[in-house]
Amino acid sequence: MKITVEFSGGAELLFNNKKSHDVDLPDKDTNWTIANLLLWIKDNLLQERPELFLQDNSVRPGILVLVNDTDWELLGCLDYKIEPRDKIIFISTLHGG
Amino acid sequence: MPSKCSAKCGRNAVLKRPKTGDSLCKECFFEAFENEVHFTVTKAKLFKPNTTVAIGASGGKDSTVLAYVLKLLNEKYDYKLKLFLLSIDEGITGYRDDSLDTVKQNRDDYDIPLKILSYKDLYGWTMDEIVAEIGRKNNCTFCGVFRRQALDRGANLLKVDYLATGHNADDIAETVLMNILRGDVARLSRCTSIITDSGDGIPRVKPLKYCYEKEIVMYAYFRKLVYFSTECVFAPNAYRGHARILLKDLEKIDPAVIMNIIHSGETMKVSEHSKMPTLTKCTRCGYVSSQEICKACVLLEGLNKGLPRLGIGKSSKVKRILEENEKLKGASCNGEDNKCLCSGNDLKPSKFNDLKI
Amino acid sequence: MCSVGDDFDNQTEKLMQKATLTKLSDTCNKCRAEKPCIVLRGKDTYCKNCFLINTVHKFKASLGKSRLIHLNDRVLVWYQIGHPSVALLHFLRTGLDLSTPKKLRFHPIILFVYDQYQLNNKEGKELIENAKRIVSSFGFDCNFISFADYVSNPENVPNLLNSESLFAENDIEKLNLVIHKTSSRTNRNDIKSLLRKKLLIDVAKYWKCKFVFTPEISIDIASNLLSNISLGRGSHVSIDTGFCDDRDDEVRILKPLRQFDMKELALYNNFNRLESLSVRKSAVNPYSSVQDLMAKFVIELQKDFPATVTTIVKTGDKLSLDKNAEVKCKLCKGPVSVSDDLVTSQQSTNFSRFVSNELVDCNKSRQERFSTICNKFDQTNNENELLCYSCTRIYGNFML
Repeated sequence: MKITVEFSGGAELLFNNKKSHDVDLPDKDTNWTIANLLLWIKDNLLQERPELFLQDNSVRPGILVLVNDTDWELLGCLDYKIEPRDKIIFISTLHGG
Repeated sequence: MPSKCSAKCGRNAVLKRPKTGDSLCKECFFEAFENEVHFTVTKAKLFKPNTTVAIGASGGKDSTVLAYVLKLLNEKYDYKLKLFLLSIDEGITGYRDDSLDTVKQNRDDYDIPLKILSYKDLYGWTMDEIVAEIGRKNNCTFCGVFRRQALDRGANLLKVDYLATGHNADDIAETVLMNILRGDVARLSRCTSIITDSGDGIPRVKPLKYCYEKEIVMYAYFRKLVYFSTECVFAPNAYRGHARILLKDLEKIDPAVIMNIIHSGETMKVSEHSKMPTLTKCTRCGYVSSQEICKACVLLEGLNKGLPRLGIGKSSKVKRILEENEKLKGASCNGEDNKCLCSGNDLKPSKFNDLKI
Repeated sequence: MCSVGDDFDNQTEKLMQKATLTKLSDTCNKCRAEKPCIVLRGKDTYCKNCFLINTVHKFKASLGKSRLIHLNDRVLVWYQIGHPSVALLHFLRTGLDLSTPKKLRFHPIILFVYDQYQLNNKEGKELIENAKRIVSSFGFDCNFISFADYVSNPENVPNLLNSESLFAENDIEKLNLVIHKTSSRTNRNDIKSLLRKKLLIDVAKYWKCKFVFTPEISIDIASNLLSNISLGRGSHVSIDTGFCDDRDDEVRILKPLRQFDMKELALYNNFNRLESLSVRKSAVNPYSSVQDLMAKFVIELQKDFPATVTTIVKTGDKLSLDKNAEVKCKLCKGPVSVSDDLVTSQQSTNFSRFVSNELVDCNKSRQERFSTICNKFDQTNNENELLCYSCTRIYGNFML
């Protein structure tokens, strides 16, 4: 399943400074949710300092998540079922001085 | 190589005091600690000579040290005070029994008279009975409200001139933080006062206001004073716990923070535009309150009428329910067998209203 | 004695409500027509349009309400790393570009203060380039100054502004020439914060700006308030964390973003496709200073009790300065409190320190010992009337 994953607000610094990633998620028996997407990101995209992006199987507090420009809090957060061509953005509010 | 006492007496230091960072030997520490309490008492003019003082005694470290030091200073510096120990029995099995035994031992060790008043005497309910009725969710509310009034009422009954409590610097700093966190500006402006008046003319004083809790523990230890220390079996993770942990963490970074917070509390001013609640007297029992009916009367009403959540929630609702109850009063709620018509529970006699002050 | 429930008040209990999962509305709270795309404060839903309009309106309202800024006033805008600064620039640019009567009619001047000592040469250059680029994308010029150079030579502002070299290998040494190396991290942070404020005021004066905008948001206000209380600056809360800090006779420091939270501004930037300035963050031990601990405490408490930040900010709003204080502290320019109380914590601490270092003559009676000590103490007037309580404590850390 092809989706786009974006990082901004400084989160891109953890992903080789690359803001936009076109991702092809491998087929699975079960649905892709944000929960398992995070694990996939950790194994496949994250370059350094996982503790700045993840905490307790979710995103670290301070990282905002939007799916197709909609707040993930309106979509079930970690349980949201990902669809083809979704654009998922992770915005960090932590990378400050 | 042990360090030397900073008071230059030549002896080896046995402790490092958190309040100033100085290392002191046992004797100089005792002298310093006692001098500081005496300094507080005299500079703040806490007591007038030839008066009686009730010491709120729980058997805990603060009240034990308070009782010991006040007695000592009373004798050494001739304050001319008549001292009593005043203890409240909440009726919590396992907690209060042991602590009351400790207070009795304080009475014997320090030779200070003791008066014990129970929640049962004052309100008609023990804490065990209250928890059986309402469960553990809001029991600390009941206990706290009743206890605060119980000490004042006790002081009134004994007709003392002052009520001394063992609040220490840590308690006060923690209260300042709590009041900021919950936005209680009215309490914030009062909580650092060393003398507070509950409105009935008996001042509450805090002679240990500037004593660090750690130093109170050290003083009790080195003076070999007996005290009872354990968590109340009913105390849950109260919101106050967050403030307590924060304070302990801050103290680790810099112990001066405790005095800094008290200084902040002492020097902050409330804006004239902020609304502050006015104080009046409870129409049921006469106790000072910001509402028409004081907290304790509200809670008791709830207990006695089988409405355990009365008083835990919006005050407008409380008013409405009390008014409804007032109307029912004339219609006589209890049946001939002394059981509540609504819930079928036994009606507990409330001696509370007899204590009109 | 158990002190739980010591002071109970049912009015305030409702503010200490734990976060509960509330059912979110499926239409925008404001227009009640569109589908919402964002949730704020865990409970309010908004559609994109209403959210954007609301946010800009909130900014304008905070400026307008104060009625402080007038036609053609010059305002120094402190541009920092992070989302709030970028949102602020966007508010300013769109406000200035309006052709309606609501157009902003003052002149902002943007300043970036370089103090990122954890970055290497390459990262530092990149940061400056990015700052220049982002600020010009809003049609403003970005001005620069080095914090370390200012601190070494505060009189030299005209030459330091936009100098060729903004950072150097020995920046930290330069700081250590002014702030004692052995200062605790807490005191260092406190001193740096005072010096930064001084820098902003000096630059503002040089460029004839009557105002300074800083990008602090609500969570910064809340944690600064608690930190300042813990440092003994409780009497200055209204100027340290209020909307307007008017300690200086000529320049006023304003915090136009103090009612906003981070999510609002980060998403505002996202929907406007704005890039924010970010750097690699160095690992900080939250227990290393009072300020770091308070930041951690507020963030964590806010998670479980969503009203935490707004309650703390509101408490601060209800406090004001002591009208009886006439003397201004030499260091922080805040009013030095004058107490009516017979004994203060300051006095008590001084007495304790004194008593712990005085030899007592055991041959004298108890009363004599005390009166000797008390007299000696009264004679040592160790309260510096020119400095406030907290500045007295950090004064020793200044190497001047």
